[in-house]
Amino acid sequence: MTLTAENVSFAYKHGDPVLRDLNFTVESGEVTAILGPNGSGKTTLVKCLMGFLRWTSGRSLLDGQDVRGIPEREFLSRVSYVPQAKGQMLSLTAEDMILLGVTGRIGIFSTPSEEDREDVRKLAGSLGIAELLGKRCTEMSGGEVQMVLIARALASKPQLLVLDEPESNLDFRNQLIVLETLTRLAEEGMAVIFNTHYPAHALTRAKNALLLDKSGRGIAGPVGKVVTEENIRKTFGVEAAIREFEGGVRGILPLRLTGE
Amino acid sequence: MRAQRRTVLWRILLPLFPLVCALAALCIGRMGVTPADLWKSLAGHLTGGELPAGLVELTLWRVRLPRILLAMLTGAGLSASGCAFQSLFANPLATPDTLGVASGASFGAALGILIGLPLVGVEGMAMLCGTAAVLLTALAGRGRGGLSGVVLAGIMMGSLFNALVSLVKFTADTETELPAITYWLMGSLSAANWPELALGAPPILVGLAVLLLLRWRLNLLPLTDDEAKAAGVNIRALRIVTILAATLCTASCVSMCGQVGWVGLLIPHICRMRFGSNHLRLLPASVFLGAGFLVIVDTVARSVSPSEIPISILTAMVGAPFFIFLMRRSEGWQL
Repeated sequence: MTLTAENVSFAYKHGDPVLRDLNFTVESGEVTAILGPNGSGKTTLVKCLMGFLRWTSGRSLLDGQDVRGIPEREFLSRVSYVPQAKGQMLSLTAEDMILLGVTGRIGIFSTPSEEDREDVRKLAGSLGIAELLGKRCTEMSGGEVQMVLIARALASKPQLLVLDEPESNLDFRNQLIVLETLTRLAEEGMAVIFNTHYPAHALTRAKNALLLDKSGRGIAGPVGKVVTEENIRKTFGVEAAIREFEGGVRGILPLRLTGE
Repeated sequence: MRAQRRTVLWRILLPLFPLVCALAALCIGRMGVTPADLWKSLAGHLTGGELPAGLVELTLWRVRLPRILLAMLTGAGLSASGCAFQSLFANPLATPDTLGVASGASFGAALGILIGLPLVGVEGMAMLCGTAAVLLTALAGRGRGGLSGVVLAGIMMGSLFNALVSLVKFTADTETELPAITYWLMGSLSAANWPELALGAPPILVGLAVLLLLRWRLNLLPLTDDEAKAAGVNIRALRIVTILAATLCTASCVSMCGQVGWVGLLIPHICRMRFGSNHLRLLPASVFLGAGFLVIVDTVARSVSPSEIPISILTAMVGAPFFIFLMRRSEGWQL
């Protein structure tokens, strides 16, 4: 499965363009990271990719077919969305919350079957959150909620997973749990694209990256070519050092603001 | 295993609750009817055997039964629409009362009574003005102040429509229309009879049926539009259908028995405590509990004193302390 964005731009009504002329491709089996400073349009980009907002110009193609020509239902059965885990949570149990993800598949007046529930249990087991199934989302930690939301998106068995800042507001351990999950899903053949505030996560997890700047332009390509000290300085206004650690893992440390 | 057995037990107990309340209520009241009379009458009708005295028969089937059915329908309808509105506005305080739906429907119904419309017309007016009120509330409270925004807007809308009700009363004929409107507004099921029930019950039943059929999807309503869309659901259509069904229930209840407050808040929250927030269980539980609850309250209203107490006074006396209890509970408000 391939999702390609061709010369896409977006502007809110009566506003300056938020995204300008972006080109990038997301492939099965690969993790792609979207980076950029606050207000650079990362979340807007995700919403446009999902079809919640319409590109002002340009188009996205799913396996070569213009997305606007694909019925919404079919598109959403192949592409799944994990929202930012913020705001009011429902006191549904994790099992029910994950089950909401299958709603599009079942009839309007139907309720999830025992088979659907069994699927959800298996899914939760494979994500290592089986013990959360009976717990209410309102009583969960941020990391637990995030994993439940990922499970909900996976319940519809998508080919492409789009995540909006999945590891924001999480501690180190939970960040790693989420990132490991994304890596594993890609290894199993899924296409994964995620927004992140952390260039280090792009460096360690993504094959490709899209770095947005404040004007809405972007640099896309292999992560090593995109996330460089030079590009970080230009887009974030921060002097940063990228270093290689043992085992070839690369990390990045912000040092100081550039003097502009 | 134990949890499963408990679920099965509730599945039997909950539907029985309104039924038991109804049977008990048939035997309670100023006109003495004993359980033996009830049994004799039931057996008589089923087997074609001997029936009790004519007055007992009349009390049971012409006076009490329609009233009990009306109480069940109203309790079920208001509880279900309370559940639906809470989910729709992602707000535990949203109810037919707090959103101004009940006031809107009251205005419509009062206007209908004033211009002398038949019950169908009164119901239609109640539905129309109730829908207008909830849409205005939703528009006014949209995106402002989080949880409280929509409730504050609802209070405004409620007071606006209550003022309009006062205007209707002001113009009403003091001899005939005014007492009718006033007494009806306080909430009473005393006017219940078969013909009225035949007209008023179908809209409530339709609203209830739609909400019950959609009960799994009601869980999606509190999510953001994007989240719900991503689950593959036409969220706009779902919202519109839910608003219409819940308003249909409320408006029809209001046009038959006035403003019976608090039920839409009280019952759903009691059920949330016990059954959680999944509407698969919450909605049927609220329907059954609401039906039984209002039968009990109405039976008290018509039998404790020689002259009947307006039912909204009783629901408020139970509702207000419960509201404070919910507010002070450590976990606070939850959906």
